[in-house]
Amino acid sequence: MGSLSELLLFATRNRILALVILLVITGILASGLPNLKIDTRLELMLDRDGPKYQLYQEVIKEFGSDNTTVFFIRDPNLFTPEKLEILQSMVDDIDALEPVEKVDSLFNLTSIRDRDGWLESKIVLDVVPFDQAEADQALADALYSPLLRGNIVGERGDVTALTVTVRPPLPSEKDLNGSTFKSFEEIIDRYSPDFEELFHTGNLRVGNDLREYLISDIVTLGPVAVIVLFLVIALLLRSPTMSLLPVFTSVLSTVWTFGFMGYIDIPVNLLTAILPVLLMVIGATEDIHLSSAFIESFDEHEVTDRNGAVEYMAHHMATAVIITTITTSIGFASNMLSNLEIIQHFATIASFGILANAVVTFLSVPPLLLHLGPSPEKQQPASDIEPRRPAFDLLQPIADFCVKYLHDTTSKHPVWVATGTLALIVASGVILLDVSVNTDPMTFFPEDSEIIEHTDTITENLSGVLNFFVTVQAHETGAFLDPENLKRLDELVRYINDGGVFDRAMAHTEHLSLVNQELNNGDPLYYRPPDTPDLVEQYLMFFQRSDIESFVNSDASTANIVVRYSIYGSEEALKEVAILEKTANEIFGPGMTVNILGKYALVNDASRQLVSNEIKAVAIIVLVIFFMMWMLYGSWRAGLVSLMPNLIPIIFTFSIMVIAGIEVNPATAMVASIVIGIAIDDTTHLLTRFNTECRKSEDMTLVIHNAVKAEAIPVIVSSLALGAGFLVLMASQFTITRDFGFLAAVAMMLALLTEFIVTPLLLRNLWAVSIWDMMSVKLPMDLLKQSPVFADMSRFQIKKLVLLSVDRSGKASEAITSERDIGEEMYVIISGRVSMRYENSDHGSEIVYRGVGDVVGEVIFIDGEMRTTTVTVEEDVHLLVLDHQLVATRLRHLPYIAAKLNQNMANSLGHGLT
Amino acid sequence: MHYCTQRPLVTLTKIFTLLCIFHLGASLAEEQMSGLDIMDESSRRHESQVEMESLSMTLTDRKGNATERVLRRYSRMGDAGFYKYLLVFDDPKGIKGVALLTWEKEGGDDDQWIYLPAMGNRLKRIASGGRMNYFMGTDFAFEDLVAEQHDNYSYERQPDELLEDQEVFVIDAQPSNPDLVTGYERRRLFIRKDNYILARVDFYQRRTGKLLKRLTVGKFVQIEGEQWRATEQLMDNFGKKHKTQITTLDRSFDDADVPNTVFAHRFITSKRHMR
Repeated sequence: MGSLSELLLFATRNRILALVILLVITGILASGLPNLKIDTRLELMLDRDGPKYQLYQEVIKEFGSDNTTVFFIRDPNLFTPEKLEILQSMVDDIDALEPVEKVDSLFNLTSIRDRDGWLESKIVLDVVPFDQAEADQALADALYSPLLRGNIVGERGDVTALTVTVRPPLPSEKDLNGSTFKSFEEIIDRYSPDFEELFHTGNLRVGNDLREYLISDIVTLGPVAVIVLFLVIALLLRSPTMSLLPVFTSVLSTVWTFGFMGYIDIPVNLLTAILPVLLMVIGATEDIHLSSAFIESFDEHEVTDRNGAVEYMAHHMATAVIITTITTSIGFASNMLSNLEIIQHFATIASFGILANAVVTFLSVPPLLLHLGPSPEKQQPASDIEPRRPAFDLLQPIADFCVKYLHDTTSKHPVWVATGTLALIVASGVILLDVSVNTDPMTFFPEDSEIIEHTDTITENLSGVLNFFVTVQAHETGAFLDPENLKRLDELVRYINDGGVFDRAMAHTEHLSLVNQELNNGDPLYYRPPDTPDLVEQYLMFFQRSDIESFVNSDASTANIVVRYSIYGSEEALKEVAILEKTANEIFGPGMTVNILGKYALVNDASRQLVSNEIKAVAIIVLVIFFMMWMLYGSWRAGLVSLMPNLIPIIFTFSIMVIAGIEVNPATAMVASIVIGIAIDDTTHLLTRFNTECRKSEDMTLVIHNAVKAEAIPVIVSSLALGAGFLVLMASQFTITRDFGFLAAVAMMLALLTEFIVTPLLLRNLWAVSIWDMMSVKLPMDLLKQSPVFADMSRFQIKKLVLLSVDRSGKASEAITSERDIGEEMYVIISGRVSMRYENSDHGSEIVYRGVGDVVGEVIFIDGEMRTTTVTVEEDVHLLVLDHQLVATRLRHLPYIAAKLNQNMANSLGHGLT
Repeated sequence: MHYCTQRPLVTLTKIFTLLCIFHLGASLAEEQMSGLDIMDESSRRHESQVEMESLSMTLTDRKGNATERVLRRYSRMGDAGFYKYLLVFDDPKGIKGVALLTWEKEGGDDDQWIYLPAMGNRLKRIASGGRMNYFMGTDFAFEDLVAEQHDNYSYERQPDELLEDQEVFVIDAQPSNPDLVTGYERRRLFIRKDNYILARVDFYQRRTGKLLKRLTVGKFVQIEGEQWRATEQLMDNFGKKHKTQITTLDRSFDDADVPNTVFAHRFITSKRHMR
């Protein structure tokens, strides 16, 4: 364990230096905090490397930005000169804002109408009506126009909308949306008293409200997590001092992490906002394991003070803590491959945060325990039998219950457990077929939130606020001046408008149809695109290019249908869009290319990648952990044992997710990889403990029982603390954060169950020695190599054999074996000295002494009969216990060492006989 | 009362010279001239009773895509001092023959008819449009094209400036009649001192005060005496990021080129206006 435990002991041996390092790093990284920014743009949820994003960029370049905000105005006296004058004033104020590209309203949209044979073409409200008659006429004109009715003005004339397009921000204008939103809010405040109802919603509002909810989450969830964590650990460990450790390390590592984000210009987003809570709960598990080992050391007689307890903790926990830090960090980092920037950022920062937490833990926890931890001297055991760990009193019954009912009972029925687990996996697999995905930011808000209420109000009175484009490329100049193609376009627009799925589709065919109708005396039968190319060109003269530039490009080779809709949820939107795309392709045929694009469409599209990204992330962490454990333990079985108990709860968790109606979203998509990275911590600790227990007994049932029992309390405490910590996220205002918290908590609880039920089953057949044990074990190798048992074995093989065997130690005068005992074990003396007493019929008792490298009981090893000698310890010994069982099981996967051992034993016996 | 009788469609090149039929008589010393004096003097110098122009029009959208049109414009003052105008599009082919006929009327809205050859042989009467509407897809609003009654505006003279090495009067024209319908808070007019011809107009949006668009006039030619004409006009619409460039290809002040018959309905419905 040597070098790794040194890492944990570094801070206790160099306290000033450790403190200086902590302060310096904290100072440097904290100075990055002022640079920290919040980013809730939808762009973070787009696959910006995907081909559709490139197409989308081309489309908004061609047809204009889809960064729109809808101002909704309701008033029973809306169409009166007084109210319209105020409305015009408001429109002017909005239009005067520099980032505003255009404001579509009754004050700039054209009304074309046949009036008693005269053609009237004018802006609906080019001036404020002088009297009520003019206002009524303006309303009648607006309601007459199919382009405006139900789109800009409500059927009853008491509502209207302004559609405001904001230009895209320049690279240097990261807060353009925020400042524009504030200007909109000021205008709303200014004019609200004048109207019964006035609000705005759209992209900017979504970004702003996400930001407000996010800040509220950061402000509330962090402190709540601190309190919950403190209470849970204080309750379970009954040590307020110990409870402060995770609070201290998590707060400091959060400062480091957020400061680092400020430095490398990664903003706080929907996902990185939950990092403080995550760092708190995940970091706490290491602190719990360390604290548990610290307290556990009180049971060891040689540990008499805090110094000894810290040494014990370092010796027993260094390997596991380092491995789990790496695995957890990889769990987060595996999401870096995601195509979505929001997940990439989260993965980068979370993996940094875990490493930062480990550094903080290494530098602060050992010295804090040394000074502030409970002291073994003060613990007064009630009796010699009871452990000196009153802090675990509360937990012991829980741990005993888990060991007894979850482990001991199930371990007696391995076939039933395996069959039941397999059946549940199959059932979960079937359930998982119904998994649905969602990246729609509108669904992140609570259903009763104001933004949803406002969006619904607009939808009910006018058209949906969300929009997407259907672009049709004909690959031929002038194609969309051709009446035949215009008819197809009109067919698709009518299909959308009459379908009842989407709210409103608009194309330049609507403009042409209106002119056609009005030039034919307002006959509704003529509300269709004109029949000849000349008519098309001549009708278009009624419009400015800006009136139709959103719908057809300058050479008329590409048409663009703007569709407004109000479908929440990616799954539903994607389904309907797929049907629409199919219909559009049928209408336009193979010669034309149809694309459905838009910011929300792309965000929804990205949901398709969530599952594949997560599968990639899980595959990465599974492979990395598998190979890491294989390397560390020199056995691929160790990799399997580490993974299986943690993959099973993930499968179950996702099936619970489907049953609970929770969708895969940017947050829940990461549950699998993150939970594997976290849950494997307990498995690693159990594996490490199992290795230690293996050297204490050859009885596998006892070994596993003891390992499970020893790790029960830290595993339960860390799982409960993690579960409670994740449940804190359910207090979030975001549905995706709540879903993540719930699923992660469920996964942790399931992982706890599998740790007691499944892991022990897998351990039964695992014989592996960690590379750290191999490196740290100290043996008198020169003497051992002279032992007949280890003849011709390499140092590596000797170490492996020693570490796989059972240890036994004895104090001076203690009897190791007695004459006439029945047994199969032989002993190799690793250190110390024993005496062997023979009862010889000729000479009476005869005593022979044996030292390091010598073997005692080799005859018994071969024939398994009654012992003929009594072996007594002369000087404290450390013995290696070898028997048939060991060779048959623990060396089964090391045939060369087993064969060598058997050969050496045969040679040794042969020499003895001759 | 000072007012101009010129109407827009006839005078795409002259609109902004704001020709008036009245003048002040002898010119005043430049320094002593008020804004209104300068406006009146400008109108006096550049009016014409009959005119025909061949024009090319280039519409350029915000992405730089250009649409070319070729058109003719006829104007003729009637007996009562009111003008009749005819605008005919010759190119591109799809809009060839599209015509807009305007008869100026006293004290009321003008009579206007549009002719779309693809609709058959009929003129469609156009109701009086909104003053702020843009004309036929250009960046000129109808109010840019109507004669300007000087009594409806206050013309405040600003310090003179140099514009492309030419000394210019600078005048801010603001509506003074509260009943006047306009999309502009004010217009800043730049009039050359040497010949009183308009060189530039900046249009500022009503209420917001934003610079909405700019008309730049150039390539001046002297017609006769004090009368000048520009052959290039560029209306740059900053709000819509759209431009309209008009170039005069040919010009005639010959009475024979603009007979009275040109402004009759039958001249158009019988397609005689189409070349």
